[in-house]
Amino acid sequence: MMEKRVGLVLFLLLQTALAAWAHAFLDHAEPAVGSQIHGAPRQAKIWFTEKLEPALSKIQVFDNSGLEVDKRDVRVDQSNAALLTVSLLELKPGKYKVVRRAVSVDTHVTTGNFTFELL
Amino acid sequence: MPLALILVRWLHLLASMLLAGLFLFEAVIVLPAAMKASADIGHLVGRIHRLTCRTALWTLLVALLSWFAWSCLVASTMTGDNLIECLQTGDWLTVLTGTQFGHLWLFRIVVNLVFGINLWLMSTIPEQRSVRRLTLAWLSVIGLVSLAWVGHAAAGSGPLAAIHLSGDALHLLAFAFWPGTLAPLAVFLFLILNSNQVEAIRLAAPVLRRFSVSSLIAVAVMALTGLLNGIFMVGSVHALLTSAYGQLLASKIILFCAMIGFGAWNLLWLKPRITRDPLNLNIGNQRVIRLLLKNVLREIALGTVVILIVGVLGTMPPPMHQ
Repeated sequence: MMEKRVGLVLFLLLQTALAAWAHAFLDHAEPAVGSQIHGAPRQAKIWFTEKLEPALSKIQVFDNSGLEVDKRDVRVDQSNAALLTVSLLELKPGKYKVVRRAVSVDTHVTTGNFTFELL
Repeated sequence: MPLALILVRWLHLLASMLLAGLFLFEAVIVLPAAMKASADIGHLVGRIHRLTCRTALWTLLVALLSWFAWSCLVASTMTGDNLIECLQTGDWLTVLTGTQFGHLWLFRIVVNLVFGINLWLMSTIPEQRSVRRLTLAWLSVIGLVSLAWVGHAAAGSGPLAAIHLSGDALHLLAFAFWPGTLAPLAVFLFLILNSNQVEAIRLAAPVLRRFSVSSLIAVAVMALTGLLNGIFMVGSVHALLTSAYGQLLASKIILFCAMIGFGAWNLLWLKPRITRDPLNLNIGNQRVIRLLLKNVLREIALGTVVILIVGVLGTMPPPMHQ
């Protein structure tokens, strides 16, 4: 009887496992999502919730007219595999759109964008 | 695309689990039990071995094809190309050589090829069979356990990530023992039912004893690592009940409970009737073995659905990461 009860409890607990694969979501960014900032940033940085694949992840930054204003040198930080960085050209005051495509090491892809304003 | 990926994952996980289960069942359960048996059952053991090798060959083929298809689908998803573009532009190779998934893909291909060579050697050269059998068991377990490195646990960072990844790997290892060995157990029960030899039927008792022990240990390990994984992935009972991911996981729990029911029936009612007095087992006891076989087949059917749900869960973000 005891053996049966223990067996049932173990099996119920078991079910939370064999779970799954997740996705790299935006954790926070610099410049921050929707922020208004003073002083032109030299880089755009995004911290994700998971480690990224450097070969396939990217950030692009566009100005209000749709012109790309980053230096296309996207890289994953060497000390933090969840941090993606791109260098920026000299930015002028205005609104900017940051477009991201993150591929996590567990193969999932997330995309999205946000804006910030340089005052 | 997600449907194809779900099906391919399901097929590959089933094939990998079966490969591991086949040789674990033979090396860890049947052969030690046969060595202790008083009667001459060499004929039956030989037949099990031949069936194991033949099934392993076909299963290996399915595992290799599904692993190749998995890589194409994943490469297409990761690069954003369609399947044909992905193969034509060489992006598939970029994924294979430049990503963690690709490195794991190559590693598992090598493991499977070495497995195939050993399987061929075992079928053609009778010497050193026990060494080759153990090698095959190890290689198939390595192949299954390495799937933890395409899971979410491999993408985590920080000190807890290592614990999560170890838990996943241990979980897959236990998975090889149970339900991995259910299919070979069903074949074994079918063979002894059709052998019409009392000696063969008597082998059921020690085999079932060893199977019970290994599956109970496997379930205990799966429970602990499952709980750990649940904390990392779902986080709360509320998330289990309210999120899409959680609800699908809950449906899996219900199906698994049904498997538990059949397992408990086998363990607590049917097995004791076979193992209580194995020397007095005879052809008349076939009814109990037949019932046991039916329950094992039901467990296998439920298990395949459970693994399909795992394939679906694999495409969804868990609540703890949203």
